[in-house]
Amino acid sequence: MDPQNWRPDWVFAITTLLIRFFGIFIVLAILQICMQISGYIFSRLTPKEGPSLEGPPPSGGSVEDREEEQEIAAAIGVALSLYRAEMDQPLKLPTVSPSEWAISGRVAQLQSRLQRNWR
Amino acid sequence: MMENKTVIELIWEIIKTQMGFLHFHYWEGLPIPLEPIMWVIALFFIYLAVAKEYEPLLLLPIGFGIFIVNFPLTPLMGFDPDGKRQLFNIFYHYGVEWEVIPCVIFLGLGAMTDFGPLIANPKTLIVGAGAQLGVFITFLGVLACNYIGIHFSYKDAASVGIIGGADGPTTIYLTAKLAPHLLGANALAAYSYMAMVPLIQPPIMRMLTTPEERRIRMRQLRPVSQREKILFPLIAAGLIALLVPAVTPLMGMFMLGNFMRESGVVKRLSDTAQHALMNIVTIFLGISVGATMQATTFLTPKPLLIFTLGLFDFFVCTAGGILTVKVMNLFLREKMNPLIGSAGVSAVPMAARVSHLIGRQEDPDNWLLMHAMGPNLAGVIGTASAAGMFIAMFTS
Repeated sequence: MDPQNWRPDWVFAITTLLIRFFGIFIVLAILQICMQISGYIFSRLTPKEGPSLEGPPPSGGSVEDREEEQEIAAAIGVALSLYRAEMDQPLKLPTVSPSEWAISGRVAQLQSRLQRNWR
Repeated sequence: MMENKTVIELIWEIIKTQMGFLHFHYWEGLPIPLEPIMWVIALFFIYLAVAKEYEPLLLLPIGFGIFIVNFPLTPLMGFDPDGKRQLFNIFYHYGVEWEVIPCVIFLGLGAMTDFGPLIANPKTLIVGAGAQLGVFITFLGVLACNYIGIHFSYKDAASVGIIGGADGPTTIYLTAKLAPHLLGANALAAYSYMAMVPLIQPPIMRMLTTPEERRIRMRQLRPVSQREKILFPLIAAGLIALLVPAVTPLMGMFMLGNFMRESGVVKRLSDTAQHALMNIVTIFLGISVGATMQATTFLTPKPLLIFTLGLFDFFVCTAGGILTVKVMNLFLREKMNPLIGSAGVSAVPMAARVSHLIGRQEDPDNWLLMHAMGPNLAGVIGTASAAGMFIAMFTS
């Protein structure tokens, strides 16, 4: 047949395309289901990362040790933060001028401690 | 005098038969040479590659290929008098016609790809399927061109339709198989529009989504173990080989590349596939595709129509992905941001980046990139599946 006079069979074209388009959904949906199943299995098999909050402390470490570790970690964190953010800046500590009430309170507290120690 | 005449005749004979400038082809009935028009087209793509950096790795060799084969008498794409193939014809014949290069490129792409986002959120595979809508609608559009006097067969229509999948190697693979005479136009349209994804997609994305939808935040993806990543290419390759065997050469190589990467035991092979091998085949692919675009075959209404329909295809595929997410949201408890739907066309990773950028324009703290990588990778599998469906349609 002359290509110029050739006309497509629309019923065939539309039907086959619909089937094939949904075919892609089916292929990818099957793959999705397989991935979800394997993901579920792997998430069950893989131990949870990070220490459990309710579980026993890690072996070889008492509560004091862990507190000490946390303090060290906090100190390192602060040091890094200061190093990164304020390396060029002089360290500015908050300067508070105590009020008369605060001074008299501190004096009273020190006197009471002194008396307690003398006893 | 006689000798002089002979010398002049000899020189004229040399000029006439061995130099190119007297051998231009002309437009039918008009004194317009065809080859210089192709030079302009070639220089345009070289400009896009060099000045604009649009897909330079491919548009540069393609542009140069177009440029150099469109000089008359160049012994590049034909046959020698003794029947031997000329240089670019060898690249084209053994690389593209034998379907070697697209499959090797898929090997490299597989070795470059991290399927983590897709494994963490397998729902996005469906988005990759929805984004193939344009492929099928364009197929019908191409067939309709027969009513305006431009003949396209079913095979031609399939090869043009696949452009919207935005996957260069798949487009080349399918076109080389079904409609090799359209290879140059199809490949060029696919790569040009892939490069223009940041220009083509955003208006459609804004048109089809509300600001509230664009602000939807998605839950952080779960971490994916290395075991899952190793298992994925085996599962995917096995399933695709079972369901769409026609596309196993492409997807098999893709998954082999990914398996080499994730297994971690063949780092040298993975590295070669990602870099050296990929670069080598990219050069040959670009030159081969460009070399198919000779003036006499390219300067017809068909390439112009292919470019127009390819753009339409991109629009519909982008819309298809977004609408698929919106339909899925009707049934999902945790809503997905419809912007990631546009990444269902497989221009990896450009389409995912576009989703991310449009999302951040609405909400600067919304990080969609990894979520969009899921549909983006699903788009690669979806486009390959569509190609497999077409191949099966014409070979069964």
